[in-house]
Amino acid sequence: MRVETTVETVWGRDGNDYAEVGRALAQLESALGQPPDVLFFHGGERCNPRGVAELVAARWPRARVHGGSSGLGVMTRGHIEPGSTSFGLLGLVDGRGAYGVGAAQLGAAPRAEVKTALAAALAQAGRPGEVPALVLLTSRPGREEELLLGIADVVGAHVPVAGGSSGDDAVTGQWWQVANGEVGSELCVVTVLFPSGTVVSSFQSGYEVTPQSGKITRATGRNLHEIDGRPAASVYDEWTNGAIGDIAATGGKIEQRTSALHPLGRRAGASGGVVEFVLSFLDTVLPDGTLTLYTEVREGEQVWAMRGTDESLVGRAGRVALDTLLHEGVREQVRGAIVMFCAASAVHIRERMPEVVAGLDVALGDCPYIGTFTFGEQGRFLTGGNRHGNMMISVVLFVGQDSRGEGRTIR
Amino acid sequence: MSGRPETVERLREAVISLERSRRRERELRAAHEGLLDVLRVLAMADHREETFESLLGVLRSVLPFEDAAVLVRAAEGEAFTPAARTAEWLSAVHLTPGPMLARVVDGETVVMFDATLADEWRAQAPEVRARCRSVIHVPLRSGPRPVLLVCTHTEPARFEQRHVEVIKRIVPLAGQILQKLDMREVLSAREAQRHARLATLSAIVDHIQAGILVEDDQRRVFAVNQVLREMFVGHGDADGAVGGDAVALHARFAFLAEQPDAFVRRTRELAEARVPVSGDEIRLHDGRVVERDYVPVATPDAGFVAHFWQYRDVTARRSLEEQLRRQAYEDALTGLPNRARFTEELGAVLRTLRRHPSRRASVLFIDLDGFKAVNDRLGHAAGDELLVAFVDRLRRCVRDTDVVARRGGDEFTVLLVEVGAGAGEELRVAQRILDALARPFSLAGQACTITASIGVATCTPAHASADDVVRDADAAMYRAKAAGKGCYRTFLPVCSPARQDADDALGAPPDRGRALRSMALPPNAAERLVDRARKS
Repeated sequence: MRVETTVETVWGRDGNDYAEVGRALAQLESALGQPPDVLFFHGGERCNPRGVAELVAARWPRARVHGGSSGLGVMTRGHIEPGSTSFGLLGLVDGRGAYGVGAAQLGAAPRAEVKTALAAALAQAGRPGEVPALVLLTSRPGREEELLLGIADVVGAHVPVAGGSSGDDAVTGQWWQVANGEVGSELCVVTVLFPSGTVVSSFQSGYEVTPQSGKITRATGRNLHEIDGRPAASVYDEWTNGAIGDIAATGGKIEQRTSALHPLGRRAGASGGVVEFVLSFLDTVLPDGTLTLYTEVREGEQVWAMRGTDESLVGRAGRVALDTLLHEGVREQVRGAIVMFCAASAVHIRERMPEVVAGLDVALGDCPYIGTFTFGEQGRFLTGGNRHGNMMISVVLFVGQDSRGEGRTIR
Repeated sequence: MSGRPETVERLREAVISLERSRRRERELRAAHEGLLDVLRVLAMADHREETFESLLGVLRSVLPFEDAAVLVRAAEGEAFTPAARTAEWLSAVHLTPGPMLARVVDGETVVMFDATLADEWRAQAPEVRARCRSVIHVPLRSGPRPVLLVCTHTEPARFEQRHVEVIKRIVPLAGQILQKLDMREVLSAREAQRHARLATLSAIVDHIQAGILVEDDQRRVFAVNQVLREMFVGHGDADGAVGGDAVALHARFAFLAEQPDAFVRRTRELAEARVPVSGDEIRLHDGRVVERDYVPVATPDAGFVAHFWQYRDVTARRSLEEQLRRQAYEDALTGLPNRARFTEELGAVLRTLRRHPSRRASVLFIDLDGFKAVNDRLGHAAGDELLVAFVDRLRRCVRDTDVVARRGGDEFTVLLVEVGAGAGEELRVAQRILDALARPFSLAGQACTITASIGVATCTPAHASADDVVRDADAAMYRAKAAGKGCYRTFLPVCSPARQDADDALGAPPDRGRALRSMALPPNAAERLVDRARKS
């Protein structure tokens, strides 16, 4: 029996245009040859997620739907649609696999709340108690570390998690999440994947570590107060040769460019001489010299100043995808991909995003993919462990498998 | 690091790429080593329990489980129960197939972070549920009697999907081990069945009351039963002859035969001809008589496969047959041939006379006169004594070649063979018999004299059967009775009064003369009736 996983994508400029959405759905169904078993739905903050979700539910009532907003529209093979009303859909058909989507409203106890979402997802997949091949996570930004702990509590820390926190245009809380027919802005959405083939994920950054480093001596959640006993803003300003000199003492919003090129990094692990860093995006400087970040930090952690360039941000998505394909030995059978790309990085290199798309096109060939721009990425490092970071790229590859070992050749 | 950031980043990515390759290589090496271990198990798989332990040893190197069991389902719809296990608590596992197990049966390896969330495990006893939070289900064999391996851990979320990848490589080999053991068990069962059949056959052969020797097509001894060993005890090493040279064994048996050379020669002929033979008789030195059957054994598939020899000791049977034969042909009191034997002997003589018309033979029919009175007076024992004594005297009156027989009661017949031309010789014999009775017998202390009436008939071509001759002699005997007893008379086919008179004169006693000269043809039926009445 031939076992085939089929993946196709479509995109549209305006989710408020029901006719356009309808045409996109029809186009996707036509490309797949049948309604999708699972639908991944991403789009700008104003793409009318509720309306799109209703159209989807009406057309494909049995499809599992997982989605979240993007900070810079969506990208698909050969195309990027950066508008805030744009939307992209990735449909997957895998009759012999099992998939389930669950969601929970995030409140005071994200670690517990995500378990509810996970249980619902496993139940919808018909696999309660079973270890999924991968957990896909989409949530509103802010509590990702706790969500990862909650997932590990249930299925174990070894199960790969890939995810991206939903973004918006101006960090104003206009993000949204979709789980099947449910749409909200404070949701955590998890999808459990039991594919008939395999699923491969990769989680990397494209930054160079610098010699500037210090120990976190005081931190609260995502607020980094002190490094080596000194105000964190001052230390960071020194490491970056005065990049935030004007606000280091008074406080203020850190420039996008500064954060994008000089994030902070912490060791995520090391293996074979390779040290992997999980990055933190810097948001603001508080008057007391505290740096507010998009990730949690803990006292006692060593922190480094990282350095990136426009070039490294532009090219790394394609390279990460290609490297993953090559080293997992799945290049011949890859059927589709989801790319979660740091929105801050994307905004920083906004004008050069077509180059990012071109790089992904080369890496993934004619394989369909959907790219979303996120406010925090989750993934599994090579050295192990699921982490939440910023300025990262998280890639999930759907790999088909059939009895004759046939697959498309990606060039 | 220093230098252009892009270059440094590329270098770093290259190092990551290299590390990724190393990692994958390590995983592959571990998987291949696991496979090699399984192959070793496969090669050495001998017993199910040992193989199970060896397989678990291999699995422990790739999977952190605590306990394991092989579960089997005897029939569609039934529960899976342990066929082998590492711990006692697993014996309580009784998994009724549900959606999860259906996928395992269908060939999927299912790994669970918490098995108690699945219907199949939720239904287990509390002590089982407490020990099997993490469970990995590995299909070992599909089909109507599926077999699966479950590895368990008391803590949740101990097994990973990467374990599945390694196990998936091992499972087909584990399945082959299982198949190999299954086949071995089937073969063992067949072998045991074959041994049981052979043992049964051997017992049956041992209980056959005949000596059995089976040789293979190379004439090696395949089977010898106890009767044969006893039959030839002390004459050949029959006990240790299985697998030995059957020809030599037969040669040793030959030493018992009266004609060893003939025995060996006949045995060789039969074995070469491969034609069934029944009832070959072999006489042994010790007086035993043995019958032998030979059957060449063939099967539809293999053709000729064995020589089957059966030896039966028929000594007792032959002795009984001889006794019966004597009873059929001898008179028990006197040891003389009886009426049937006499008839056969006379028939043979008649056939000879037909081929040789010049030869002559005669029959004397003797009836003791007054025997009933002796019986009545002295008793039956004395009567029997008289008959024996009479026979003794009678035998002295004839040649050894003549046949003396008792027909019953006091009637005797004598077949005189090769008598000379004319009637003189048989008449002389008749006269000798009459003379032999002149002397009294001593019976029960008393002297007893008795006479006899004798009829003489000479065999002629007109006699179609022995009964014809005896009938004529009988008729002549009645003529003697009629003539006053104690005399003989010859049978005359046509009796004229003158001839009758002349004849009567020949055998008439001096004191009786012509007392019964009025005999006429046909033979005297009235006289017979009188005589019978008198005897009764």
